[in-house]
Amino acid sequence: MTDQAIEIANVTIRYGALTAVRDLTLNVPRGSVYALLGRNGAGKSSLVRSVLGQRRPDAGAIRMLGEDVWTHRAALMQRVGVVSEDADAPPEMTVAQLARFSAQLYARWDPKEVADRLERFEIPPRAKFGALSKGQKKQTLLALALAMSPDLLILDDPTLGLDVVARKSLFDEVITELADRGITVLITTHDLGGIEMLADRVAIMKNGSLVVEDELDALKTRFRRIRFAAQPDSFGESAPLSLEDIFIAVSGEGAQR
Amino acid sequence: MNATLVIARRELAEKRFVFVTALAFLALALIVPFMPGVHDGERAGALIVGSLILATALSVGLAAILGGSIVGRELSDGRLSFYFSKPIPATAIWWGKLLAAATLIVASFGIVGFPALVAGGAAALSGWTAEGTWSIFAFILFGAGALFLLSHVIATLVRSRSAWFLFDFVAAVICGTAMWMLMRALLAGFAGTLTLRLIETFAAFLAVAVIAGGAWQLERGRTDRKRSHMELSRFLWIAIGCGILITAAFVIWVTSVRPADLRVDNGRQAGQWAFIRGVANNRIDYHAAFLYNIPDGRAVRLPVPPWATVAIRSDLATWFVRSDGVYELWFARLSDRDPKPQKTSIALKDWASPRLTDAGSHVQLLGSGGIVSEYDLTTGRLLGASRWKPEPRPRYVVDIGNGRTVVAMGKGSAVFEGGRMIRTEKNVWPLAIGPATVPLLARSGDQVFLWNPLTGERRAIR
Repeated sequence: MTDQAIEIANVTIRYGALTAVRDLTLNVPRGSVYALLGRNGAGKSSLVRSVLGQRRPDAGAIRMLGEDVWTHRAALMQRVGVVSEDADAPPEMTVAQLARFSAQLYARWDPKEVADRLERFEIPPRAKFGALSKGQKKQTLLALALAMSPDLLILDDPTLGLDVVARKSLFDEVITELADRGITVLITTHDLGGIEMLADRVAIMKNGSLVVEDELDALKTRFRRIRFAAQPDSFGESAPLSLEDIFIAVSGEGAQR
Repeated sequence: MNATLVIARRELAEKRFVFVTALAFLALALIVPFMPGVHDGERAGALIVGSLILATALSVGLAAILGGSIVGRELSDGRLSFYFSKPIPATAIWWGKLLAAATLIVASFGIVGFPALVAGGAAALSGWTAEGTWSIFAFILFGAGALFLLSHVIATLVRSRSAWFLFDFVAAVICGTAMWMLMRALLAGFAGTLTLRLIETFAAFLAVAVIAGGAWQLERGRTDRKRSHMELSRFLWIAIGCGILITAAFVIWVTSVRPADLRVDNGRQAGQWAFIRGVANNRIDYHAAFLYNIPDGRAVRLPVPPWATVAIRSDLATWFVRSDGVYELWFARLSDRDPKPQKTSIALKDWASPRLTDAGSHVQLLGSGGIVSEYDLTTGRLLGASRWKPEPRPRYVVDIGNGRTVVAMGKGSAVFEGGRMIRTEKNVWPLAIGPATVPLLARSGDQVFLWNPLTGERRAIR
């Protein structure tokens, strides 16, 4: 069994003349929380779609939990929980119907866990998915994704458009799950403050390429050294280096908070 | 539960409003017999016709809507990723959706068409049979199925907003043209039934290709609408291309008929050559005609319709070919070592039957409306024409030599010289149907006598 939950090797994704992801290689170690960051249009969602086996890369290969994701997608999804960027569940289905529908598809399914989690999120099971707020939709999808005891959780910008309370609640749930089960998490997000508490490794994409990839602590140390080299007088004066500082330094001005 | 059934169940639950609509249509059908103007004796008929019309309208409309939304709309709306993020094989998504759509179409037709069946089916209507009822039901449902598949393909191609659409258009034109040319080759052999069977078979093949193509499209294209379009296009055009190649091979086999393959239903011999025509064995109703050299087996294929006449002498044959709305006269010199069909400059708007004169240099054409015209075969020059009013349809010609012919018609005979009618005689018909010398053996009523068509003189036979 490989030590990597996800292996992305020399992947290129094109949309006509536009290259969304350019010859990208990265590995997500098992048991890690891997944050994939980048500004809008950096290629994160295209990469996630390919990681989920929904879009075949134009070049390169992607393996998930040791299997080729394109050829073994359906089998792999038994072990992968997904919270997509666009809450794409049918809007006319109620939360309870969504849970029943999902229960029929997964070998491992814990209905009590879904019910408990939805109760914690204060989401009524009879509510139609389309009628839920953005935060409730993401929380519902997270509850469904965690009910099948995933080995790997893929969260594609899960806090996009969520208020502070919903964001905290979602991250708390993921942290609890990590503490309980130690699952691997791949997360793309703009919520740098939230992810800084969670992530072991960070990758930053820019214009379809990977510009930074390392353990979060190592990354901070590296960037602190770079800052000191550039501004020797700042030693001991500046605030501690945050992920946001690194992100802005790498991605440039205007990065979303 | 099987993933296909899970998807089908979900799709049915999502579209359960269709059943409500069907029940509303059913209520409407039940009201029809009691509408003003429908008399007591007409109520059963009104119920049957009303429910059939409403059932057809609903199922056909539903087929078009479902076909357009089953994949095309969900792809463009980005809704397929929900299924693809679950442990569901792409093919199960397709088959589940297809199963649900088929169930909805058949069930809605069944619900609304139910009164027609209960009321004795269309058999209750004068002139219809029970088999006819089921044929109509089958026809409507097959039509709805075809419309569903067509809508699915069009929705996928159009909604992808991909430049591949241009390729699809060009491919459709090329394949359509190729199929038309193949069908024309069969229709040139007057094989109406065979052509129809081939079209039915090809349509069934096309339906299977679209159904299999849908599974391929989702398996290879998944949530990417442009790639989904590309994969469907690729699958369909390869399948259609293969289908056309197989059809072409079949058409080549059908049209490569030899004289030995014919069940001859018409033949005439002149010297060493014979004209034979008939339906080809194992080719349903494909007709073929040949000029056939009896001693050495040489054959010249003639594109003549089964009802057309061919004039043949030992050294010359002539016939009409319909082309672009006119009848062109063709001939073959049988005295040549390798006789080749050649077109004359003679072309008529209406059908006519050719007759060759003694020398073979002139051809006499017997047309409808009683018009007899004579042409020089080589130059195509019209030598003369006459009409004998009492009878619009000439029957046969007796060549009596010196450029003269006797044309037998329904009410008597007319004598022609160089394309001009020189005299007529009512109620007299020559018994000869080929070249003969004067006096001719002729008949009038139940009397048989010797007759001089140039003078009208009659002599009793001894």
